[in-house]
Amino acid sequence: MFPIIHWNLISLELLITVTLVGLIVLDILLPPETGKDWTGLISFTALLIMIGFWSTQRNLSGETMGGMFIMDSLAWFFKGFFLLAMVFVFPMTRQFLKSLPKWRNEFYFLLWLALLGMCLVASSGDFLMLFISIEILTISLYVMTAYLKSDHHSLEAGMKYLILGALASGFLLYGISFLYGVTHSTGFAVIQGYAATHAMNPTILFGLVLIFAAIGFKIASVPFHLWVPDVYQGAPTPVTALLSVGSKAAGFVILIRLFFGVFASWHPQWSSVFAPLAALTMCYGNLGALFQTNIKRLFGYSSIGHAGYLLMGAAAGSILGASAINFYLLGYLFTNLAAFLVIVLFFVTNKSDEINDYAGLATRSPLLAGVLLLALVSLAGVPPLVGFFGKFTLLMATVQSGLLWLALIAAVNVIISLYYYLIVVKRLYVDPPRVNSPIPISSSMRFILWMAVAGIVGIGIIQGPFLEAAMTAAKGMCFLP
Amino acid sequence: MISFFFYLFATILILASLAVVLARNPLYNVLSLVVVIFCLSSLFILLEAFFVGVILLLVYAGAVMIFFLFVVMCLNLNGQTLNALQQSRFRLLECLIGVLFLSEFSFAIKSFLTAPAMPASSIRGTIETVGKILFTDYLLPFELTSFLLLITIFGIVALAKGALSTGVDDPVETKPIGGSQ
Repeated sequence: MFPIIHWNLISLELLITVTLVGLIVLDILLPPETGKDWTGLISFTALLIMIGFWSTQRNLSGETMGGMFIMDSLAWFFKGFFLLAMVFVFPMTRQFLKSLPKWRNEFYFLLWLALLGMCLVASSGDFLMLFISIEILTISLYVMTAYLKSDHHSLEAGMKYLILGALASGFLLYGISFLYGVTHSTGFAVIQGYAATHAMNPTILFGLVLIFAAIGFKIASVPFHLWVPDVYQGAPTPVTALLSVGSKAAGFVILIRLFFGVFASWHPQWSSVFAPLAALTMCYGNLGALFQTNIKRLFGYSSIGHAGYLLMGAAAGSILGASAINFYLLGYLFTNLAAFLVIVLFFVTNKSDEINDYAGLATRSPLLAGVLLLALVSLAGVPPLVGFFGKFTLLMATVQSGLLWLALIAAVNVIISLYYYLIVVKRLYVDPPRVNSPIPISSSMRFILWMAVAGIVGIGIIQGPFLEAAMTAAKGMCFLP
Repeated sequence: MISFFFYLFATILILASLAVVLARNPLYNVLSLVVVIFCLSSLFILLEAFFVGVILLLVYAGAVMIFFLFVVMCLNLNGQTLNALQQSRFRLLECLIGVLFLSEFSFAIKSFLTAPAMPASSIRGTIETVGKILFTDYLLPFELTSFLLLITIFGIVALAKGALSTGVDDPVETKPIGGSQ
């Protein structure tokens, strides 16, 4: 039987595909030396149109292609999340690629493919589908990580990411095959039905551990974090930004869909594993970040730390926990991407990512220094910024589930993280500048920077509607109390 | 008769897999892998999954193996470099993780033994059945694999074709990234 296809459910993915194909055709038709970055401009415009289209899909729900593709509130929330992340990544790429003499357009195509992969991950309703979506995302990231061929670090990062990523994919596939062996299906609906009627057994546990290894690789949780610092430092900065926000969120949407939805009935078994992992991850990330001299590497360790905070929501194992993860990720998007915008703009004029070179940025460019300050302080969790409220909801969920010790460890980690974030702030504001030349910022980049600031401050002050969106997203598919 | 062939191929499979891991000469590793894949595809054919068996033989023993042989040839590994590669600082940790993995794995296999057998399927793994399933139930994942091919095309074009910067691939100083931790 040919499956019934509900085209309206997959319309966003189709739109992305059509845009991608259109851009490829345009790339062939346009003369090679137009002097203007048409692909970047059109990409950005198409992205804004897509966000408008996405907002009309709010109440869309259902499944199509024989259960392969699910559209629900969680998928809707995260698709918006990925589109929003791209709104920041595309301008970053435009700035960054100015120094690249060739193959600029291909970079945009790969970004589009990564976006497609992330949207499909959010909508997967079958393990096979999930695997292929993850591969679309990850393989395009491998290529983009190694994109600066003449840069030794970029190549090394690409190679490391490829090898460890291939290992993680192998784990995922092996885990899926164990689940298939027990449940005789790869569909989420069937496996969920099996989980509801059967107790956990060693085979399933083995499969789950392997699947979690692959998710842990994506979200950068201990003990699957080893690639993070090197890859974050070596990759082109827009790719680092995408890795730290998009790829991590893709990992968490799988985590929420699998462990809060499909395997919800086995929740007592798995939530006891997440709590120590969360504690280890945040301690490792925050302690590792203390003595870093490269800002991208610092953000690599900080990203491991934040994965630890986010895993607290998973350890809580409640609807509140899942909503807290969603909300925290939303705040993390604005905060981290604001920081990476500054890093890109600084790199374009100064060709350096060393924290020492940031000395006296406040006198050279008050706007850049201000945005970085806001981002760092929000990451550390200072009220009234969004980072504070995100941590607050996560801690609330943790305490409500009776994991007081985990909340205490998180509180200690917040203090540790303040130390290394504030060291960067000291460089920006107290140390004298080494060079006095101001850093030029185009008005369009100014606009993007202000948008990020609006997100950090705005969501911090008016949390209501955003928290509600995060709640709705979690409630749509969560089968936990 | 079928069970005789099953045990025959399964035994060769295990022995050849051991040879893949244990043989010192890389060439023997690769050749044992060919034997492994041959036995594996025989097992698939015994299960009446003819198409999968043949594809496995064609793709892995045919194409992928050649790549392995090329890599072994190009690397020109001799005993000294091999020994240097096999020195590991984390031997104890590796063993520990291996033992953990193995014990967990044996538990997993044990519960398979007691599990009820899967109902015998009437599907025969011919091209026709595989094709039908691929274009109905698994239509979306199948179509999506085309994006994987697209990505690899971009990857090859951007990474392998032409030098990016000034033209010459100047040998940069090779300091690993994490050197200054």
